[in-house]
Amino acid sequence: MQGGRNMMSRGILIAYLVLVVGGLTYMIIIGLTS
Amino acid sequence: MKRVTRYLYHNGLSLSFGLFLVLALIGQALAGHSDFNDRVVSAGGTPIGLLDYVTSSDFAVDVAENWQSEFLQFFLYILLTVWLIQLGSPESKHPDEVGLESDEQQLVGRHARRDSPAWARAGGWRTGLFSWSLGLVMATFFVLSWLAQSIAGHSAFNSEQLGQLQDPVSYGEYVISADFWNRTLQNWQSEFLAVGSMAVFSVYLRQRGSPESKPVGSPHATTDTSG
Repeated sequence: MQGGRNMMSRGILIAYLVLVVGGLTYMIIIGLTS
Repeated sequence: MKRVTRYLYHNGLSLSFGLFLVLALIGQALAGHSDFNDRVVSAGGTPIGLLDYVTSSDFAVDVAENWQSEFLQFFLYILLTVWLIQLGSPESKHPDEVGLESDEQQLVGRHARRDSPAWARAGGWRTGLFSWSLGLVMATFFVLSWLAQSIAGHSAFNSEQLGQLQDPVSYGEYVISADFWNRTLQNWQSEFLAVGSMAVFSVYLRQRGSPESKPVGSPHATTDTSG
């Protein structure tokens, strides 16, 4: 993994977390309001 | 290699699956909308628009029931492979490595390397929490997805009940209802089959070049090698 760490992207981790947490929040809100 | 090209190359797996997810969700929204309207029309109702469908509890429960089972699958696989083994599987540990392993094997505390994550070296609650972080996050997402399924499913179920001029049910009644458990278990069974199949098939079958498989020439009895 030499040189690999620099290319590892925290951006993608954050994007996945936002996707999952955002998606779950969206579904819960829809369930509560519809 | 250009910077952007190198970035795409080094993150191809996560970016590809992210793209597949978005495309599949769009497809699900379109097909689900069409299917929903077919059922509404055949019941004598008025079709709804796509935006109304993707903001409906019918769409939400269909997405959530699949999410929860995927996170459950990975949570269980991550956790059970600490203690359970499958001889010959590249996903399994050796029998003599069963359990949480020593600090030396896990590179924590004073055994941490110079380039280990800071919380692996820190000791105390930080190392404890970091040591379980992957399983904990998967477990948390499973519980939240299952909660989302139950809330959206309750709402969708009651819409259908009212449409059929039947009494709505309470949330407590819904989570012990056949609808909730049918949705839940039909997803669980498929995940358990897929994971079990993977554990068994990978003992005897190979995929050249895949880290999920043993090297092609590796003996069936060899455990814990990937190629």
